Amino acid sequence: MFRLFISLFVVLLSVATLGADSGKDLLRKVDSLASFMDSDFSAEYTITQSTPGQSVTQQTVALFRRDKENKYTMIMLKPDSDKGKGYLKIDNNLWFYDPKSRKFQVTSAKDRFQNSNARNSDFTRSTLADDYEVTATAREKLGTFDCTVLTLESDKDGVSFPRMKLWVSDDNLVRKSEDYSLSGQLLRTTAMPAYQKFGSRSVPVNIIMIDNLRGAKVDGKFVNERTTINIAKPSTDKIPDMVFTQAYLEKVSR
Amino acid sequence: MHPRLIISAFLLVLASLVAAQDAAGTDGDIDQLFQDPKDVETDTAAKVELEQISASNGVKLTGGVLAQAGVIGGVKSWASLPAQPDMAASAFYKMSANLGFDARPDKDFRVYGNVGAEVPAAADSLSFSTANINELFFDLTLADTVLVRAGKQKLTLGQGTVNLLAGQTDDLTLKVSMPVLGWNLSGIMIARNENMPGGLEDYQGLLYAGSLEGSLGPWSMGILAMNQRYLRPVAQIYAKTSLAGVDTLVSGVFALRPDATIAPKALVGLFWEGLGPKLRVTLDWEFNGETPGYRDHTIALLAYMPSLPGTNMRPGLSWAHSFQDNSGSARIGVEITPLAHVKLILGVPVVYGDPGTRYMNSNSDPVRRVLAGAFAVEISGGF
Repeated sequence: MFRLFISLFVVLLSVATLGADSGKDLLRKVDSLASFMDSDFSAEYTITQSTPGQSVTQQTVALFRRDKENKYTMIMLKPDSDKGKGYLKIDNNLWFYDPKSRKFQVTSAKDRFQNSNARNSDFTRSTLADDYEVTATAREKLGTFDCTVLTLESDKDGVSFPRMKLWVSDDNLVRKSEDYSLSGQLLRTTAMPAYQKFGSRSVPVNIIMIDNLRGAKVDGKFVNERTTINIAKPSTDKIPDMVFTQAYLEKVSR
Repeated sequence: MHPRLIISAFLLVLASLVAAQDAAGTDGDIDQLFQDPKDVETDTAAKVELEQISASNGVKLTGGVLAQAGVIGGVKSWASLPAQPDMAASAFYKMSANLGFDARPDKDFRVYGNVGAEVPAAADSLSFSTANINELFFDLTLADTVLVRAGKQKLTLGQGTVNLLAGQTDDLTLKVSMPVLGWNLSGIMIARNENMPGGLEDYQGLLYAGSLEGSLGPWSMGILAMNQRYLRPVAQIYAKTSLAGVDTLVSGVFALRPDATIAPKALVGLFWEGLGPKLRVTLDWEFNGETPGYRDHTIALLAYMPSLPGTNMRPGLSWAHSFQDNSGSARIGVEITPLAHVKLILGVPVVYGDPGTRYMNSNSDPVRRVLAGAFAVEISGGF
């Protein structure tokens, strides 16, 4: 009987380890598709923030990424009053240039972007395999997609969320994610239902983020805050080095 | 079973159902998006053009006006309290206006200028000053790598409360910036009338400064320095990072005395933003090693809400205290915006310490009140 328990334990352990290993492999594939390690990446992001009971706000930013050097630059294009304001991220440091004081401020990459439900970390390359451990895998149908659902945990201080659940379709693209606090509270739900292909690469057409904590009652029903990001003009053309410098933020500021 | 227990259980189940319905609504909304999604091919020729960011058609005009008037009343001496309060009340006013232009004919060239005039708060006159050039400079970008900015320009060099160029940027300034191994290298040269009365013949009066700033692991850091023959050479070294959600600055400032010894200063600055972005708190500690006895410590606290939720009010408080002479100043206030362009400001400024101490000496109130109440109306606008 004791041997049977030991054998059963070993089998269960093997299955669990196998699941974690294949989950980690899947995460690496996800990172590979969501990152641009062999070229630069640029695109125009339009961010629409819907806060129940308040007016809808919209901002457009130009995003320039150089993932192999862990850098990105974001420059506001709209509204006109914010045009030229910019962020520069190098490694884990994020600078914001204040044109009024002509000074650079350092801010956390975990912070919200311009008071939306997007985090500054949402605009950088994907490092899920480095940041998270896979604690469970499962298969699930998400609308028309057959997905592998990965449950992730991280004890790293730099990550925006310590726990996540990812729905990855069979083409290794993330279709949905849920972000949790350490205590298991659902904080944010993100959907990327459709992707756009350009050349050999793919990026989401749009990203819909629901803040599961923030919102207000409208007509008696609780409505969550929602951020929609539309991505246009994706390109892998080379970007001048200067775009990834503090001097560039200074140059384009108004 | 006790009726209260049944009612409680019923309410608990009802609350759970309502909560579940809300949650289902959210998830349901999201999952609806996956019923008919279609991946698409996109135009590979379209891309973000740098021209659209750094160039613009025509000349953009900017400008603004600010007018403020108010009353302030309070006590001039702590010693007069409470028996015979030494009171003083007065009115104050100020007004300023500026007009600027910004021309960016192509992505590599820009000309910017700004002129302004003011009726200063501390003056006895009600007349505007002569219009003054606040800034007038051009930007030239060379080979998409080097940024040259030359002319009269607002320029700071330093982190935290430090500005190595304070009071030095009122005349001709040249700044050249470029990336070096992923870091940002800047060189600055300033020609001031005051230091070079004979013009270029007095080139020895030029001010030179430079900085190298970049990133190392989770830290952003830099070294900055300034030298001018009539001033003491000064350097700042700093490192910044985010620790448990608190932006943290650690810095040392070193000035070279004429006897070749170093006068050190240390700074630690903390910035925390909480309750969403609704509350911002800054705490600075500064040690001035130049003062004999090494007892010159100062702390400064600033807390404010960019907007009090559901209102048009912006409350805030500030406090600074010197541990060397136990003097300090504090201010609590609120700004209310009842109408566009109109701001009402209520404040209570306090200054404390023995006569002759740091903050009593630096009291900016012309009548030197130590405890006051102030009210002002401010009208401002820009384009």
